[in-house]
Amino acid sequence: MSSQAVFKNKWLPVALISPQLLITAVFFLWPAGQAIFQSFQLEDPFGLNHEFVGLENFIHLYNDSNYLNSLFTTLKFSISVAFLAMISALILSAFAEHIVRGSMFYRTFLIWPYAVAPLVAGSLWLFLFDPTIGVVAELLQWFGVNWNPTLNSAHAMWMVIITSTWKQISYNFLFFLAALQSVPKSLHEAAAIDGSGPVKRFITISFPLISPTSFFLLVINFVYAFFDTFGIIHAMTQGGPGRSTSTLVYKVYNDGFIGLNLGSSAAQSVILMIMVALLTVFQFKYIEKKVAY
Amino acid sequence: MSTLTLSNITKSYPNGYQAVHKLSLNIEEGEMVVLVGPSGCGKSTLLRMIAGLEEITSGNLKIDDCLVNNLEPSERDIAMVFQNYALYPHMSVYNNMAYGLRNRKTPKADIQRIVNDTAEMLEIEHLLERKPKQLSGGQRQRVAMGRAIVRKPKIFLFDEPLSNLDAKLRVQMRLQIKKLQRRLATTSVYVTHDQVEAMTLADKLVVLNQGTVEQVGTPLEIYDNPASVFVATFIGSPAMNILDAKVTKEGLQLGYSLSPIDTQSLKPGDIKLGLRPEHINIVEKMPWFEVEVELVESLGADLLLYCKTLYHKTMDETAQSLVVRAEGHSKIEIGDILGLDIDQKHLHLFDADTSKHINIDLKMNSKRELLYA
Ligand SMILES: Nc1ncnc2c1ncn2[C@@H]1O[C@H](COP(=O)(O)OP(=O)(O)OP(=O)(O)O)[C@@H](O)[C@H]1O
Ligand SMILES: [Mg+2]
Repeated sequence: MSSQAVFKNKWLPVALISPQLLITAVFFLWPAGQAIFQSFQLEDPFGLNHEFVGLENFIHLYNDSNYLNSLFTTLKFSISVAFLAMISALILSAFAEHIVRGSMFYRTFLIWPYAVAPLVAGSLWLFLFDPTIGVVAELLQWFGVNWNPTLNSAHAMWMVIITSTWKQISYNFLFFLAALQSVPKSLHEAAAIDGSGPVKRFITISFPLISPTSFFLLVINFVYAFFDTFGIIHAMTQGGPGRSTSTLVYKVYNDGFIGLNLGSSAAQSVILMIMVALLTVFQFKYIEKKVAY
Repeated sequence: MSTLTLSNITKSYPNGYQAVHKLSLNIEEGEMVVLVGPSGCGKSTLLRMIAGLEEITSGNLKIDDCLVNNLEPSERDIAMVFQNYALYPHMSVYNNMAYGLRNRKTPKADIQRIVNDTAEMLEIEHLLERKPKQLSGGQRQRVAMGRAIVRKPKIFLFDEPLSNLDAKLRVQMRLQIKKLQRRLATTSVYVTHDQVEAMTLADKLVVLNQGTVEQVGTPLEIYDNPASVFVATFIGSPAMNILDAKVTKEGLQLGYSLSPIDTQSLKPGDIKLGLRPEHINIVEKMPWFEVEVELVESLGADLLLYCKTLYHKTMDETAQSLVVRAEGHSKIEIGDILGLDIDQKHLHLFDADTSKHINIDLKMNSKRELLYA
C-alpha cells in the first residue's frame, strides 16, 4: 500500500503547494541566484555599473587574512556555543526528568528563552553585561574581573557566546528531555539492579541511547551558531572590538552593506550556502545509518 | 543460598491506592516460590519491592535476617528478569552479561570466564557478539537469564519472563528455568498469572488476591485443598465448577436433585459446591443430577463438555453452568442429556457468605440406595 494521497485533479496539488513554492522562490531562490550572479561580478559602490570578473572575488577571499580570521572566529564561537548549549541542556534535562512536583513550572521557564527574538536577547544581555549598570558585570567585577567588553576582545567573545548559548539551551533542552523520556524505565531499573548508580546509569545507558538526538542537535547547534546569531552579535558588539566577534555571517553583512563591497559579500554568502548544503547532506547521511539502534 | 522474609509488607502508591496489604511470607533457602494471581493483584508491586525498585510503605523485608528495606537495589544482591527483558540495546550480548560484573569490579579474566561459561550453559555462546535486536524472543529471554545468573545473586526475581513467548517456546523455557533453578539452587521468586506455569514451576505456590495472600502451599496442596472459592477457581484448568446448593436434613440439594450425603455436621441453608471438571463422573444409573450438553470442545485426549443443569421439577430455579471433562473419544453431542455424579472425596464445600472452604469429612448417607429406589 502506498501512503501517498492520490489527486484526481492534476492542478489541485500544484495549487496546494504553490504558496510555499512562491515563498521559497521569492525569499530564497531569487536572492540565492542573485548572490551567485553577483559573486562573479565587480560592482562600483553606487551600483551603477558592474563587470564580470570570474572567480576573482573568491580568489581574493582565499588570500584575505581578514576572511581567514573571521573563519577562525566563527569556529571558536560555534564550537563554544554548541558545546555549552548542549552540555547545559543535557544536564538540565537530566534533572528535569527526575522532577515530579512543579515540573511544568520548571519546564515552562526553561523553554521561554527560545521565544525571545535574537535582537531582544542581545539587548537584554548587553544590559546585564554593561560595565557600569549591568548586574552580571557587577558580579564579575566583584570577583576581580576587570570587565570591559567594549575594549577587551576576549570579554566581547564570551559575552556573545553566553548570550547565544542562553538562547539555544531551551531548544536543546526540549529535544534532550524527550529523548531521555523515551529511554525505557526498565533499562534504568535493570542497570540499578546491576549495581550502577544514577550518574553511571546516565553515562552508560541514557547517553548512548540518546546519541541520535545528540548528533542531530550537534548539527542544528552548529547551523544556529553559524547563521542565526547575527541578531545577537549585531545588537551586542557589531562584530567588535576590532573584528574579534565578526563571524562569517556578520562579515557578509558588514562587507556588503557597510563596506559596500557587494561582489565579495556575495562570494562569501555563496561559500556559506555551500557549507549549509554540506552540513545538511552530512546530517542526512549519518543520522539514519550510524547512530540508530 | 538465602532466605527471604516478608512481614506485614504494605504498599500504598502516591495516589493513595493500596496495592499490597499487610503481606507476610517466608521463603526458604533455595526454594522456588511462585506468586500467582489475577492481573492487578499486586504481584509486580511485591516483586519490585523485594528488588528495591519500589519503596516499602510499611513492614519489614529481610534477606538472611538482615533488614533491607532501605538498601538500594544494587546493595541487595538480587537479580531480576524483566517481562520485556530490558536488555541494553546498545550493548552486545557479551556486554549485557558483563555489565553487572564490571560494576562490581570483577577482574577482566574472571568476567570473561564467567560470561563464557554461562553462555555455554544457556546455549547462547554463538550469539555473544550480537546486539539484542538481532536476537529472537527466546534468545533474548536466555540472555536476560544469563545476565541474572552471572552475578551469582542471593535471590532471583522473575516478573512474567515467559509471557512474550509463543506457547511452544514457553513450555521449553519453563523446563529450562526449572532445571537451571534446580542446578543453581538459588532462592527464587517467580511472578506469573499463568496457573499452568505456576503449578509446574513452584516448590511453594502463593496465591494472591487484591494485595493479600489468599493461600500458601505446594501446588498439589492447593489443588487438593483450595482455601476459598477464589483459589479453587484460579488454580486448575479448566476452572473448578462452583454451584449454588442447599443443605437440608436429607442431603445436599441441587435444585430438586438430592445428593445422598450425610449433612448432620453442616449448617442448614445455602452453600457453594466445588466440583473439578476432571472429577465429575458421567453415570448411566442413579445420577445425582442431570445436565444438558450445550457445547463440546475436543482437546484430543479429552473432551470438554459445557453443560447446563436440568432441575426437572423446578421452575423457580435458574439453570447453572458447569464444565465436565470426559474421555477424548466419548460419543457425546450437543443436546445430550447426561447424568452426573461425583465421588464425595472430591467434593468441595464453601461457605455461601464468606466463600471459605468448609473442612469436614463428607460421609455417604446410609439411605443412598433407598433414595433411588
Ligand atoms: N505507580 C502506580 N501508581 C498507582 N497505582 C499503581 C501503580 N503501579 C501499579 N498500580 C496499581 O497497583 C495494582 C497492582 O499492580 P501490579 O502491577 O503489581 O499488578 P500485577 O499483579 O503485576 O498485574 P499484572 O498481572 O497485570 O502484571 C494495580 O491495581 C495497579 O493499577
Ligand atoms: Mg505485573
